[in-house]
Amino acid sequence: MALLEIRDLRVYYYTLLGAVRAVDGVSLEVERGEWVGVVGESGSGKSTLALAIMRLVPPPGRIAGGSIVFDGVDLTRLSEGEMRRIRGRRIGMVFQDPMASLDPVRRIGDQIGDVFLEHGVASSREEARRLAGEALEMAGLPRDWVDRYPHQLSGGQRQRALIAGAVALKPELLIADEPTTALDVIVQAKIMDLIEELKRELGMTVILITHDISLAAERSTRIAVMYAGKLVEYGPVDAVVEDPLHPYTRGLLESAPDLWGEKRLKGIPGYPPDLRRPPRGCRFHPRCPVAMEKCREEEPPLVRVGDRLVACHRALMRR
Amino acid sequence: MAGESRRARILAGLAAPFRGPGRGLFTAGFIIVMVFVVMAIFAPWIAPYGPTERSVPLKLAAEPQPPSWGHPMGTFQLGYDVFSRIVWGSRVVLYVVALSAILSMIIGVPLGLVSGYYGGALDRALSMVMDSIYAFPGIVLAIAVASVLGPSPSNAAISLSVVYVPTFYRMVRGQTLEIRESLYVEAARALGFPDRVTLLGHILPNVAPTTLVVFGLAATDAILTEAGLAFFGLTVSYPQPDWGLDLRMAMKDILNGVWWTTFFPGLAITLLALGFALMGEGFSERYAIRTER
Amino acid sequence: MPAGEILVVEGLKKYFVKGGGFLGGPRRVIKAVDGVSFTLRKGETIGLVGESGSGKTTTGRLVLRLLEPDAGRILFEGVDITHLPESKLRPMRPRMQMIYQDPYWSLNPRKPVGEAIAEPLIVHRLASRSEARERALELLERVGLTPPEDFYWRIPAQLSGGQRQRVVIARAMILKPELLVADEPVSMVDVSMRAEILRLLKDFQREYGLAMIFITHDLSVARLVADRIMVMYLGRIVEAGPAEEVLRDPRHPYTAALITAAPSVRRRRRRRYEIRGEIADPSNIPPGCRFHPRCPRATERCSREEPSLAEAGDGRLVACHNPLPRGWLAKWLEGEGQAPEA
Ligand SMILES: Nc1ncnc2c1ncn2[C@@H]1O[C@H](COP(=O)(O)OP(=O)(O)OP(=O)(O)O)[C@@H](O)[C@H]1O
Ligand SMILES: Nc1ncnc2c1ncn2[C@@H]1O[C@H](COP(=O)(O)OP(=O)(O)OP(=O)(O)O)[C@@H](O)[C@H]1O
Ligand code: SF4
Ligand code: SF4
Ligand SMILES: [Mg+2]
Ligand SMILES: [Mg+2]
Repeated sequence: MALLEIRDLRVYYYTLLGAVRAVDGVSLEVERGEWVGVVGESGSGKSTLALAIMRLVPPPGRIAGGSIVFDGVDLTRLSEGEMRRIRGRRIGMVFQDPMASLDPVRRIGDQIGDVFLEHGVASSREEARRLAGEALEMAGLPRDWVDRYPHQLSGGQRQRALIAGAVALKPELLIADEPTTALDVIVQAKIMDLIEELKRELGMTVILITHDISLAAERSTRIAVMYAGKLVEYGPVDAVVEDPLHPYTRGLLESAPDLWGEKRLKGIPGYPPDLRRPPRGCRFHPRCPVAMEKCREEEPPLVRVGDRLVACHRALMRR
Repeated sequence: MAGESRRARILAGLAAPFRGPGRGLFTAGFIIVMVFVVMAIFAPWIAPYGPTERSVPLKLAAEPQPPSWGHPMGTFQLGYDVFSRIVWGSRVVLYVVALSAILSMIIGVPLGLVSGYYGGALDRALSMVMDSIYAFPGIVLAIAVASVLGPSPSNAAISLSVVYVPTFYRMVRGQTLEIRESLYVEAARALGFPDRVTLLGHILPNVAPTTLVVFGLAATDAILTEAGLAFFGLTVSYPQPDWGLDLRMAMKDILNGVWWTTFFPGLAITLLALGFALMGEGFSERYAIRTER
Repeated sequence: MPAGEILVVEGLKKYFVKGGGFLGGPRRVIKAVDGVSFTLRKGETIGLVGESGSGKTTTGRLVLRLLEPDAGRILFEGVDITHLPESKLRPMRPRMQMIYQDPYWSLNPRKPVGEAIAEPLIVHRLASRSEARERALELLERVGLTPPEDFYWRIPAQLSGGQRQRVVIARAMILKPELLVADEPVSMVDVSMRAEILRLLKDFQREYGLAMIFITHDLSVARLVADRIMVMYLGRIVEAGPAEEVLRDPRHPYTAALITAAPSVRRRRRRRYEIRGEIADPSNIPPGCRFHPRCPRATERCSREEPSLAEAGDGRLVACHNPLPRGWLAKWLEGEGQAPEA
């Protein structure tokens, strides 16, 4: 059985100007021990998807439908109390904005220690701080940095501290939302090493969210590509990267500059749609170079093709 | 095309405070203020009597008369109709308040812009002067200046503007300091724009909404201070109509249980102040402007 | 391409002083740019790369005299502009332009974007109001904001990040400059729109014979636009040379680390040339070679003696006592073995 099985998930933000369909009918499964890279441009719904798994979608957002089955349990049906026992303990998350995830006036050790107290692993502040020290060490920071404040850490070190907090209770699943976006490539590579090492040591499953398809491609076993709230392609990394089925995946790959790739760059014309009023039919059709008449009218279903999922009329014809 | 769009933009700009957040507050304030403006402009048609017209028979004129059908707000001593004097008085009040707010804006805004943009010795000197004026209690300062200049509505406006110039100056200077560091001001320099263009074309428009909020605050405060000046006879001289002055002349009535001669002028002052305050509040909500007061 | 030099920079320095005053905390001198020299030829693009805080933006602003240099010289078209007063500089400014990283704050939030594009022409009296407007409409069309009439009166808040960056480019280009400093012009733009913006810059460059300093932290972007690459570390240039050669055969250990760390779809799971730690605080620059605490090739000499940027053959400049051997990277990436020892 898959560790995580998402079925037809819909998450909408109910704003005054209409419902933003940030995640709209996403289905995917993640096996134990996998590293899944979720890619897509800004606003495609990546963070919303992650927050939905954690049941932390902020208002006016709400899970509007579908299921998220984690190790046999549908998370969408759990009470807040039951969910709290899963968060941090069985699913750890590194949030997108590192500055907002750390309280500037509390010591790092106390902030990481919270997770031990919350789950009753530590019975006192002291014990929690000691455990936090161990977690820091696991993330490659000195144990005695529990006494430091966030501003005393560099960007990369702060990210390590956040990862330490997320994996402190040795969760089965780690969701990392753009953990390296603000960091330089050298530091980024080291953070990725750290996640990979922790994954191996703790036997974790990893979901890495990023807008950078090259980063996602580097260590993932499978890649999920999102566009305008939809999952458009999902499959083993080699297949997706070498032979993308969906025109958007192809476009993303061609617009990612690559030191070792071709020296010419193609973009995708146009702009992503307003998710309050997404285009009819395929959401990508206004930008798609190979759109057909059918694409304007009929929404392509997410269909299994071999070991892949893809949502595109053309890709299905090709089969 | 371009010309039409410009007109559309200006119209949209004028309509902006009536839309979006804060529109309720702004519209309410606007209506109140407009009622007084209409009163002032059409005073001869609205007021049933002249400001110094004896509106009751001579034998009743010695004492204030309570509200009645003929005199909905009663009369003052000497038989002056309270409602009529409020209507006529709005002319003086609005004149003094508007003139003072405009004067202080015209002086305070450019000084704040220049001071904030160039900094240096000029900025330090100006800031010191402005801060010391600002620290002075407004009413005391206004009375002091007005007594030197002599009683007249225009002089009252000038003395009030002395009080409110620092309010505009401080706010504009602070904002200019902030905007000066912004990327689009550096971009203007990179494009080789002279300071004049940067100041008037790029900084001023971004200071303008806050300036209008401060205008509302200053006008609100000026109404109360004007009433104070009038109270001491520093605007017009009795029996010319002015709410603050009427208030003072009627003070003694309170002891005789005569409430309408103080209540209605006081109400007029409060309402007009409320009108300006609501406009400013609504405007600041519209543009999410925080003001330190 | 004419081969003349448009910009010569010698020994440029900029130190920022922080704190030190009353209640200001300890006094710190941030050596943001600490002795930078280079030459830019007409029509050429230099890619200025380096990690965050290495001084790239500061260098760009200094070159355009948007900051006052503390030392060094800047020659623009042979004219020494290092200490030219703003009044003398102003008429020259249309010839040198800047594009900023942040498309959100480099435009006046209350000015319609069409007017913002037309304004430079009007201010410099290069066109009448209506001519300027016509030109602005043309440029809007040219940068792909069509129909231009629709975009002319929009304010920046009504545009996406990518669209704003197009406006910023149009505004800089309306003056037909000879020198452009583009500071990370695509780093805040969505991936799918980067190609379009880079192509625009390249097109304008060809058309106007523009010389460009293209600042980026992303080597793979630099590779697409730059003729030459300069790698900056803690306020200094540590390696410079023809773009493709620097990227294929880095000689400075830091360049090698940058190149092998960049994520790539084409070479997944490649070997990485590892260096220690993170970039140091520019207010506390290590003695000797400023890279030595992180350098795998550091020797005792490195902590004592600062290497100067010197010729290493084939137009390559390297600031290192023990540069990597020529042609090592390709072999190393394929082969097994250790990284070459110093
Ligand atoms: N609190 C909110 N209220 C309303 N709309 C929201 C809210 N949060 C997100 N959205 C909208 O939902 C959509 C998806 O947002 P989300 O943050 O999930 O995207 P993302 O793929 O993570 O993007 P990014 O790469 O910018 O982080 C966007 O259109 C966004 O504007
Ligand atoms: N106006 C300033 N005042 C004080 N310090 C500054 C100022 N501008 C830059 N610095 C400092 O100078 C150093 C170099 O900054 P700079 O912005 O030039 O780096 P950069 O290479 O452009 O980095 P990034 O990739 O983050 O944009 C940094 O440590 C920065 O904090
Ligand atoms: S369904 Fe049609 S429009 Fe959508 S991606 Fe496939 S071909 Fe393009
Ligand atoms: S000079 Fe020494 S420390 Fe500096 S880069 Fe070269 S080998 Fe490394
Ligand atoms: Mg996100
Ligand atoms: Mg920079």
